[in-house]
Amino acid sequence: MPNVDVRYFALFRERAGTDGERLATPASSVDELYGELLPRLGLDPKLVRAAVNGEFVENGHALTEGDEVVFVPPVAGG
Amino acid sequence: MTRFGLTDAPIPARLLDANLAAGAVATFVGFVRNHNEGRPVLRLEYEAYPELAQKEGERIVAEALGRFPILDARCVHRTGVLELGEAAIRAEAAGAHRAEAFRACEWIVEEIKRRVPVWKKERYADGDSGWVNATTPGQAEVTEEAYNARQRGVVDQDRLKAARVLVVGAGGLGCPALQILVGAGVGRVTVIDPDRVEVSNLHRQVLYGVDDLGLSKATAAVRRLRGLNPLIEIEGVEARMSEANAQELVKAHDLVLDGTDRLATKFLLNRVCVGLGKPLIVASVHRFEGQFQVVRPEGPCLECLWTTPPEDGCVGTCAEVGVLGATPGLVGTMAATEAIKLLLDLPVAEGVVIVDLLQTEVRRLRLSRRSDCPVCSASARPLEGLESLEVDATEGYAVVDIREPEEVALVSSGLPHIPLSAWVTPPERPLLLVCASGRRSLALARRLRAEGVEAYSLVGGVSRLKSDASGTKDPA
Repeated sequence: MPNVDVRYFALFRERAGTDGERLATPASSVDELYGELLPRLGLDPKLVRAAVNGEFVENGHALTEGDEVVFVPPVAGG
Repeated sequence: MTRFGLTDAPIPARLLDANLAAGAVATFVGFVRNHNEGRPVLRLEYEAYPELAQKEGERIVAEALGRFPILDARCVHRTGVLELGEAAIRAEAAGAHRAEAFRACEWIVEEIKRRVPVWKKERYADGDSGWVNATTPGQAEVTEEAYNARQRGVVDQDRLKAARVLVVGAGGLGCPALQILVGAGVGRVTVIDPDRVEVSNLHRQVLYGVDDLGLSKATAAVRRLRGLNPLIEIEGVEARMSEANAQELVKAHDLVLDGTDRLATKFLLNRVCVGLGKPLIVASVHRFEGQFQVVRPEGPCLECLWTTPPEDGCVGTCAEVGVLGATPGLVGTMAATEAIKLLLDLPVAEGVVIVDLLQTEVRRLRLSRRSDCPVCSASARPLEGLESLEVDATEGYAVVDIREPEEVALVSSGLPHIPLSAWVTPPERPLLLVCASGRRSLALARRLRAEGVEAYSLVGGVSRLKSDASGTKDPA
């Protein structure tokens, strides 16, 4: 199980109640990780983009030990 | 019609006819005063250059009708000899509400005093007389040299002056962005916003004050911005950006900055800007955080980031979730800085920039173009009402080879040839452009589309042409 650092922004910061946390996850890909977090984050996975180590990645992107994962929700305020 | 008049008879007590839609008529009357700078005055004499004064006065009142949401306005200026207590000028502005009526009336009087050729001669009690300056004090002359003095050597002022920028939304992001762009001396700035100034806007929307409450944001922003930089053209459009006006507005500008709180508008602008080959900066804020993305026509674009355009309402707007005033102040300023860098060909932020004011952190997330992006990929779907930019066959088109002469010398296409470096648009339509790979021809086709020319690019370039040709040639 890789340990990953997850960072939250905007809506996700509020829903997760923190701006980041270290998770030991059985998930092997970013979308599986989001699936684990879905009960807390609650936004349709189709509306969420994941970035790993500073780069947006597609679903299925494999997680490795020490990755920094950012889930970015859309932001609309002006 | 005549809305401005010069008269040597007493000014009537009412200029505007009753208008039932007008809830407010603001009136200004200027009287002959019995003293000036400490000297007793007996009477005044006004002299006008009537032809020019009439024309300029008429123009000022017409401008007021365009600038303020008023129903009607009139102004009359006296000429000839006036006794103490007589009215020298009367201006009336009628609107549905008092705010705009007051504003318009004040503006008309200030402009009349500044621009209309009327001179005032005072006759003093001591028998002396003299011409006095009838213009408003405090209208210092503003020169470009003085205005731009502190950014000389930092930016190419001529390039900024030649640029046209469209700012969509004059809210928390739009206000600081506009202030930066106008102060930088961008030659033409247009702002579009359908809303009116509300009390809850003031904590972050720095172009407005309590005096602007109830005024359209487009009007109030333009008034403030013109005061900030009188050397450039600034235009306000009181409307919502929509399918109906997007193409035309984007076409008339070199770059678009989006600061709206509507996702639908952001996706519309993304589509239109990519289609017309115009760079776009999309910005949003949420409480202590902001995001922005510089979208270049070649991508990656907003739909490379969000494959499923989110519905408005799923993520909350400032009105729903709140925002610290500083957040859009900072993010709007950063977005405007990217705009200026784009105009000056300086390197801009790639990917998506996330500004986190709680952690005091700016992070850039790199983004790649999606090969199947429905907006910016080579196989992008056609724009609404516009056919695709790229085609894969030459029949029915006026085909032009845009490669440079040395490339043509190596591999001839046998086509009419206008090199890109010396491009002059020929009159034939529809134009199909061919280069070596299809890349330069696509860029040129985009540019020509933006100029209203029906132009296409041949996918794959000259090699496609040759394989086509060999395939259709006499099989023997």
